[in-house]
Amino acid sequence: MPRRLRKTTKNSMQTTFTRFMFIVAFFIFWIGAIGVRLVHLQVNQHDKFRKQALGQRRDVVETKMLRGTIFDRNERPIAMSVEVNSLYADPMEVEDVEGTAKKISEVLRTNWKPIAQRINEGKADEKRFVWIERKLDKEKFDGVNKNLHDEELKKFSLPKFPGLYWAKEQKREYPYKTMAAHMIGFSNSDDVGQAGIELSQEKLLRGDTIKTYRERDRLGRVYDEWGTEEREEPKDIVLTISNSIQYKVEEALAKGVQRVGGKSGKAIVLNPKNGEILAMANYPSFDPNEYGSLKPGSWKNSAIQDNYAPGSIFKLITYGAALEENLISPEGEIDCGNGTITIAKHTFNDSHAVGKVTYTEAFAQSSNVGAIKTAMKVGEKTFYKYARDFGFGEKTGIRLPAETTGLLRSPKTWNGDSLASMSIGYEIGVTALQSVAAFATIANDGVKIQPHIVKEIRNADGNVVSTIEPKRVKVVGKETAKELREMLKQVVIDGTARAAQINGYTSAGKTGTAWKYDEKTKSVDRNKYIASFIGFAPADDPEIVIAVVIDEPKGSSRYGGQVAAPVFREIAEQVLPELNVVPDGFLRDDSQIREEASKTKADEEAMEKPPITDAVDADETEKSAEPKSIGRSETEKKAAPKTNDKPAAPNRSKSEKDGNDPERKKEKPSSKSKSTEPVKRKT
Amino acid sequence: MNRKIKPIKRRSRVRRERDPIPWKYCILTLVCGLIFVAGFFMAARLHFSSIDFGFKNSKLRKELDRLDNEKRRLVLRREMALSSINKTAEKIGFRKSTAESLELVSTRKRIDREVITDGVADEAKPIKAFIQEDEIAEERQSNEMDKKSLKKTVISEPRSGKSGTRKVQADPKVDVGDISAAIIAKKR
Repeated sequence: MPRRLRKTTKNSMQTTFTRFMFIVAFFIFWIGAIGVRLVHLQVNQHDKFRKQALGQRRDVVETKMLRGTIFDRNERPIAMSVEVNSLYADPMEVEDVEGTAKKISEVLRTNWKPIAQRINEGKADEKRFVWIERKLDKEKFDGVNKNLHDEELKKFSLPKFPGLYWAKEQKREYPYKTMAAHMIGFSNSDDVGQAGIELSQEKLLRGDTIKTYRERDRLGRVYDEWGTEEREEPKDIVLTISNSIQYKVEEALAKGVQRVGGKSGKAIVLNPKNGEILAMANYPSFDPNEYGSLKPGSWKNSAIQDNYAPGSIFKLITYGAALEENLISPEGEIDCGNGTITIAKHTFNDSHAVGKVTYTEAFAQSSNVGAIKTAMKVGEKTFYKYARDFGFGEKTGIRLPAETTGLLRSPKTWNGDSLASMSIGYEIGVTALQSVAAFATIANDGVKIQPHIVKEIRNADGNVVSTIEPKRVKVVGKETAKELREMLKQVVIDGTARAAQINGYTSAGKTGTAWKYDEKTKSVDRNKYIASFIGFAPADDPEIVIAVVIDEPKGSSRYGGQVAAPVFREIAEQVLPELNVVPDGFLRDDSQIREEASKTKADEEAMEKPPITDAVDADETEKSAEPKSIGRSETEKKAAPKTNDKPAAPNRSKSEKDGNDPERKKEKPSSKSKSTEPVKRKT
Repeated sequence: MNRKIKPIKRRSRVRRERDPIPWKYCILTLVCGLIFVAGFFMAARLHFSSIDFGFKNSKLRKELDRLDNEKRRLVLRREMALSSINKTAEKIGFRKSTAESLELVSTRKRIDREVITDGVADEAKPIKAFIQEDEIAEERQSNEMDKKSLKKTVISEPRSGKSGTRKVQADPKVDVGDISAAIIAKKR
């Protein structure tokens, strides 16, 4: 028994042990299998499951940084971007298309049919994304959310309506609408600059797209958020213009152009001491908020993109060069004779004979003969050098797009009468900005300062990243500049620009009236003028330089002194007190000034006729004085700028062409002299 | 045949030696266990609070963005409103500053500005520009100022009961902000 018992016990223990081992083996196998599976999942399929897991809780939101703001010099935002919402639909999720479209149209106050059509088309094409309405303002955004609220729908995002979603976008706003529109430009629906500062400073203003990762819990709530790529933030740009001055300039210009029935106009206000542009206006203007409805080209900044024949304004360069080269003195005398001079078979006339006068008087009376004779003393190369030094024929470097260089041909391509023509502002194309910069050089004691529009660049925190340091170049000496200022003063006191006298301040400047070049007839159009006035105030210590150019003034008043000078006066009278410039002139009543202006109107008309005429008596009326154009030489045609504001070329009369011009015969002997020797015409 | 099996006598003396209960180990284990469990609790708590902070952070960020956008929107609205302020000002009778007004300002004696604080609650203290009446008379005589030519705006109504002084209409060039800045500087 005990043996049996022992045997039984032994078997029982073995059985137990065997069972136990089976269980252990099972567990080991089980755990091993789990382990193997885990290793397989976590090592071999790591990437796949990681991606799936992240996809469940993380989403990527692509947002565009808000475009930089453009401020004026007084920190007023002129162009600013705000975040807006755009409504889009997933057509596959929209069940009740008509109902949805109707509810949306109720808020947006539009026709529901186009919306329904868009969703239906998207459905047909199995699209998952269709824009319903873009860039809605806050009121409409709230309205849509309220109107499209579905309590039964378990949808995390707004609007709580099946198939509809919001996408965040940005909208560029121009709060001052038409003000400084040509200078600021605009950006399109994709927030890319298309004109003006918006275009030229695109790199700085543009907001990059940034990816933001968001981790959500099972209810869709965001509990973690981070961006991966570090991008440079868009910069803010502070301009030199002043909102207030810009407004005044635009208002005065608009009034001035409307008063004379002009086609367009431009005005620039510049600080000659630092080259800052305080205002740059174009008329007519446009609203950059409504850029979609603009005609192409209506945003062209004429002040820097169009060149025109400056006319008598360019005499400043002629006299400036002669004074700097010590060839003349303001008190020196010049014989303008009977107001006629012939250079290279081309006769130039004064509107009235001024006789023997001082250079100051010849300049004040805008004598063409005086200017031509002075230019002959200066010579081609020197004249060209000074024209270049004053900044003509090259870009000013203002940070605005599509600035033109103007037209200033090399002396090698000049004709025999080119120097004479250029000395009185023909055969040359200038921009209003170049002209105002040249006058600013004189106002700033002969030192040319690069005009600029951008004052400083800032980052989003308001810290200044960079400031603009304009280039300074000495063009003429201090004495020459002073003499020229005195001569310009006389133009306002006793010359063609008496309408530019400012109440309370002294002023100086020069008028210009030129015929426009007609592309069709390839000659100047006697009925189309460009009237301009560029001046500065106070005359002795100028604080501002103002250029006013009016295109195609109509009616009896169409000369620079009548059309542009009053605009100058109006601008200066408003801007100078705003800049706290202490008055240095006499205070007079407005009526007194108007009376004086009307008295001198007749004189100005006589003095300010467009200068290039052929074999015409000075006493003839304007109509009869118009020369018979025979067109331009090939060289002139080649040199003509490709804009509407072509510089007028000198024209020759038929009698001249035939060699029957009595005036030319008279001038022939004197043409042997060095100063008036005709240059061989190059073709 | 049957063998008598002797009953097993239990001797009280022979006793299996037992180890005494290792209380200190028990306590140590317990403590470790508690620390372990507490660690878990703490980790869980930190985890949930971090998620909670994440929610709050996200909400705040959203709110910040919203407020920033709202601020931008309001700045724009203000600028839009201001864009027509010049025309409105002209309509209601304001005139643009001219050399004449500047001349008058420059020749006039500097106006001393002060704040009336007597008997007025701090919140209600108006900012006013004051000048002695006789000084005004002198200035007017010397400059031959024409009342009509003066383009001035009234900052606030004159305060009664202040003998000897008279409120002067401030020049439009004088900004209220400048006055308050001057007052602050004076107080300091």
